[in-house]
This record gives sequence, C-alpha cells and structure tokens, in this order.
Amino acid sequence: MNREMKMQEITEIFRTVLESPELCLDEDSNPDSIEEWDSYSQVVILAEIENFYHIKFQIFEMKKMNSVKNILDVLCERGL
Amino acid sequence: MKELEYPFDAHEVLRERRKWKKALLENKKHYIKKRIAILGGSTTRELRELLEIFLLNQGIKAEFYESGYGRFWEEAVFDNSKLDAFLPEIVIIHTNIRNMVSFPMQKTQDVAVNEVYEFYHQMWESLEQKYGCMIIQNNFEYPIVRKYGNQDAVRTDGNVRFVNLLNERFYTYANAKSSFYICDIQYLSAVFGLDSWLDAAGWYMYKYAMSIQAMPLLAFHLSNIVKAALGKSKKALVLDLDNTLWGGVIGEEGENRIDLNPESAYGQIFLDFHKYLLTLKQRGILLTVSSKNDYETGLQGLKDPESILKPEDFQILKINWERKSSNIREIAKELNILEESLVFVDDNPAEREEVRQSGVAACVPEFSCAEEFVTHLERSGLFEVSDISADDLGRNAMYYAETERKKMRENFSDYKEYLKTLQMEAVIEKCSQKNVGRITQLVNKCNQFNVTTKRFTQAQMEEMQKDDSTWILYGSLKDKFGSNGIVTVLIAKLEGGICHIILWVMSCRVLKRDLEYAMLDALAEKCTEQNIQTIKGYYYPSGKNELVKDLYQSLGFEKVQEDSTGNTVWERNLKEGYRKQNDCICITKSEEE
Repeated sequence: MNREMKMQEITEIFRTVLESPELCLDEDSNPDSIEEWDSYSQVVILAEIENFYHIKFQIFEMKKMNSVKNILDVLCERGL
Repeated sequence: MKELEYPFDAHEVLRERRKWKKALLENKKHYIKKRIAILGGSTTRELRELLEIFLLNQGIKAEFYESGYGRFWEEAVFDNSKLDAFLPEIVIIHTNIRNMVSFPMQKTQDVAVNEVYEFYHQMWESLEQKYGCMIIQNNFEYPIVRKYGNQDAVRTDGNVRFVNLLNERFYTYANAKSSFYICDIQYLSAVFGLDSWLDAAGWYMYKYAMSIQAMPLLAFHLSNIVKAALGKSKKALVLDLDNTLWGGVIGEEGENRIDLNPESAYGQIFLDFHKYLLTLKQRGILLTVSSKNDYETGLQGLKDPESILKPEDFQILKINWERKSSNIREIAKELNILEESLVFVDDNPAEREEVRQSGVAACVPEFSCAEEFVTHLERSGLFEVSDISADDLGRNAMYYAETERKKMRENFSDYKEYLKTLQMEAVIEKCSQKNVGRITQLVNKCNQFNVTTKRFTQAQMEEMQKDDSTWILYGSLKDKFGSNGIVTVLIAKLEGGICHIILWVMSCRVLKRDLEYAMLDALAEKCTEQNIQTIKGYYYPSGKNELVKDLYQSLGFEKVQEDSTGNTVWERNLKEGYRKQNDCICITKSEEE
C-alpha cells in the first residue's frame, strides 16, 4: 500500500521533470526503458524527490537509485 | 514571467524550466541576441539551461558554447578552433573553490596567491586578445576546510586568508578593466548557506561546483550581470507614501501621527528604507511618488522633520486620486523613459494588482510586509550596476534642469525662438578611450531614438574605436540650465566609398533640440573631407523605436528600399554639396584637450 502510494508520488515527479504528463512507471522502469531519463534529468529527479519528502540522500543511496525499484527501496529503507 | 523574477522558487524553476522556456520563446518577439561561452571548472549543462531561461526572461536570447568538463583554462589559452568559430561575445568562467586543487603548504602565501592569480590572469588576457569579449569571472567562496579554525582568516598560511587575498587580486583587475565583471559567488554562497552550497553529493556524484538547488540563484545573478552590461537595468522607482514611505495613513491619523519615529521598531523600518532609496538616488536612480491623497496632505508627510527623504529628492510627485497605472504612464512620459524602466513599490496588493492588470510595463515586485522592501529590491537585481559613469551620478541634477526648461518652453510660441534662448553648446567628436564607457552605456540603453537597436559590448566598442574604417561620433550637449553630458552616438562604417550609419541613438532627454541636425552636419563634413559622396541610413523597427521611423526623411534622405517587416534603407547624396541644417546649437571643441 505504502509502496504503491510512493509509486504514485514519484510518478508525478517524473512526469513534471521529464515533461511527459502521460508517463507510466513500473518497478522495472529505468534510464534504458525511458528515453527522457538521462543522467541530467536524474539529478533533477533526485533533487525533487529530496524536496518532496524533506530528506537528503547520502551518496551511497544516490548511487543505488538507478531504477524505479531501487528508488522505492531506498525510500522504504528510510522508513518513509 | 513572474515565476522567474525574484523571489523565485528554485525547485519550481528546476522542475518547470523546459515548459517555461517554451512559453517564453512563444511570447516575446524582440530579443537581444548574444553568443555566450561557458568555460567551466565543473559540469555546466545545468547552469547553461537555467541561465538560458533567466536571460530569456530578461529579453536576451543566448546561443551557448560549453567547454569540455573542467577544461576552462586550456580552452581559453590554447588554440581552439571551435571557440574561434563560435566567436563569443560574452565568456563566463565558471570556476569555484572546488577548482583550487590544493592550498599552498610550503610556499609563502603571497607567492602562492600570485601563482594562482597569474594562472587566471593569463586566461583573461588571452580571451580578451582573441575575442575582445566581455568576461564574467566567479570569485571564490570560502573553503570547506579551515586548517586553523577561527584563526584561519588571520594566520598568514590560513586557507580563508588565502581566498580573501586572491579575491582581492581579482577585484583589482576588475576595477582596471571595463568589460570584466566579477560574479560574487562568495556573497551568494553566504546568502544560500555555505554548507548547502558546497553540497558533497552534487560534487562527488555529478561534479557540480555547487548544489543543484543553488544553481537557479547563480544563473539568476549571472543573468543580472549580463542584463546590466547591456543597459537593461531599471532606471526609476515609483513609490507609494502611506505604509510604504512611512508607517500609517497620513490623513487618518492626523498629520503628525505617521510613524517615522527613530525610536520605534516600525519607524526604523521605514527610515532604513529611506536610507536605501537615498543610496539608489545617489547612484543615478530616479525617485518619484504615486500616492492616493490630497497633494498638500501627502507632501506634509515628506516634510516631516524625521523624514530622511525630502520632497526635493523626488523628480515627480503624483499625489492625487488618479489610478496608479495612469500616474505611472504619466511619470514615464515626463521622465522620457520607457515604462519598463520603472519599478513600482506599494504595500497595497490591490494597487499592485491594478498596475499589473492595466498593461503598464512597469515592474511590480511582490512584498508581504515593509521589512521586505529593502532586501527584496536589493536581491532582485533590478538595479544591478555595470559601470557607474559620471552621468549616472549627475542624472538627478540633469532631470531638474529639464523641468526648468519645460517651464520656459511653455512661455514661447515659436519653438525655434525658444531653442535659441537655451544657448545650447554641443561637442561633437570621435569617441576616445576616455569616454568609450559612457558611450557604450548610452548605446545599450536607448530604445526609442535608436534606428537599428544594435547592441555592443564595451570590448566591441573599443575595437571599433581603434578601427579606421569605423567612425563613432558622439555628441554632448549643454545649455544655460546645465550640462546633459554625452547624449547621442552615431556609428558609421565606411565601405566602398559609402558611409553606412549602422547605429544612431539619442537620449530622450534631448529630443527636439535640433541635435540630430548638428550630428548629421558633422557626419557630412567628415564625409566631404574623405571624399565620400553617399550616406546610407537604416531603420529596423524594434517595437520601441517608432519615434525614428521617419528620422531619415526629416533629415533629407530618400527611401531606397523597404521590406515586408518594415525595415527601410535611406540614402543621401553629397555630390551637390551639403548645406548645414543646424542653426540653434553652437558647436565647440571638447574641453579635455
């Protein structure tokens, strides 16, 4: 349930940053499967997630977050 | 676009910038175009994208070049055919404390500071030589590591002291160079918070010099430097009175009951605002008032013994019951400046909204309380300075003289008669190294009397000044009421025996004074001396220069070409001689020599 809600929240962030209002994410989505998700938008996506949840990622977490699954994992580990 | 003005939301900017960029490109028609190279000591793509939209919002459309990662120095100093082909007009050197690979350990600090300084200095000189461009260089923010804690700023081998000494060397260079600007990231990082600014993740993960959240702020400030250098800073303030220049409402509480009391917290806020406005006035920003009140009542407040600003500090006092928007229109007309050069400050959100809705182009900053006035105006960069000329410092006096002239004009029925009584004297000469600063400023500031709206950086102007086939003629004008300083500039290129007027601007303060005749007389004389028999003039409509649409016609030129966008080409033949057209202004020699 919680994970689903987070999925919705980060989907919204992805949609704004990548300027693609119809974008749908699933656990397997990653920079290879989503064209606009390049290394530059990755920076903004992470910054926006930080801003949204009022957290600051550590570098080891940022290195992990290379897919939607891993992003959600990190957020869950954070107990959000 | 309101969202890109101070105080913008950095996150919103990062999130929405692509959408906003599209919107900006669709909206505006007349952009100043500039080629900007960003030479970075770190990743610069983010900064470039942000700078692009902030510049668009300031009316500047930039084309960018980015150096390879971290190769700022090499790309500037060594042969670089790509950059040569790009031919930058502005170079931004985006370096910061992260590029200070190591602080000196053994060497004495002065020697070490000198070494780093020389490294940068060599790069600036090389860029100037190759491109004659404007350069914007970051200074250095404070380092993360302090070897000696609090004593680091004091001890001769401290890191903090090192940064301070090095920055000081940068400033000395900047003071001596006209088209070299410092971007003060030391100040910005303090405003932002140094720890957040020097974000570890940003650097180690992406090699960003500073936190991505800080980049909108930096990009905004860079855009302000560029805007100011292109003469697009604001020129005047329109101020409300009640609860803006003093606490309370003057009519309601009795004339002596407004709060400008230096002993009260509220009174101090307004007195500090007075002091701030006075510093703006001293550097050439004009102050005016638009307030809903009876004239005498409103004036009473400014005559309050505690009031730091006095009635005579204001160019225009519109204290009446008119709508603010129509007062602002009037003020722009009377000062002869564009509405968009005005900033309107009013504590009342309803008045601000009225002005915004009215379509007046004045800038209307948003405030939630009086204590925000100073910080908001200051941080907004609306009045960013590029180069303060002697004319800026004397501008308020010049406008007073204009008011006196107006009074006199009203007493004359014959306009020529009036002009003659002004006892005008003009100096019309070629631009020299000494006044190229003021001349550049004027060229970039004028919108209305501006035939082609070409903009030039100071470096480009200096280049043209040295070039024999280009004439930069300037005119300064004085009369019995005072001096106006340099008020008109004409740039002509000689090509194939024809004199092409590529730019002609005149300050609106001196319109209808026959100075355009005197300028053409001087140009024709120079042409005759050089055996040039044709003068060509060009008019390109910019949306703001309707005023000079028929200038060349009125000067006896013939229209030889017109295209669908309204661009026109004019020609004047000198073969049959040239009869002087000015008979109101006495031409004198410059006093400098």
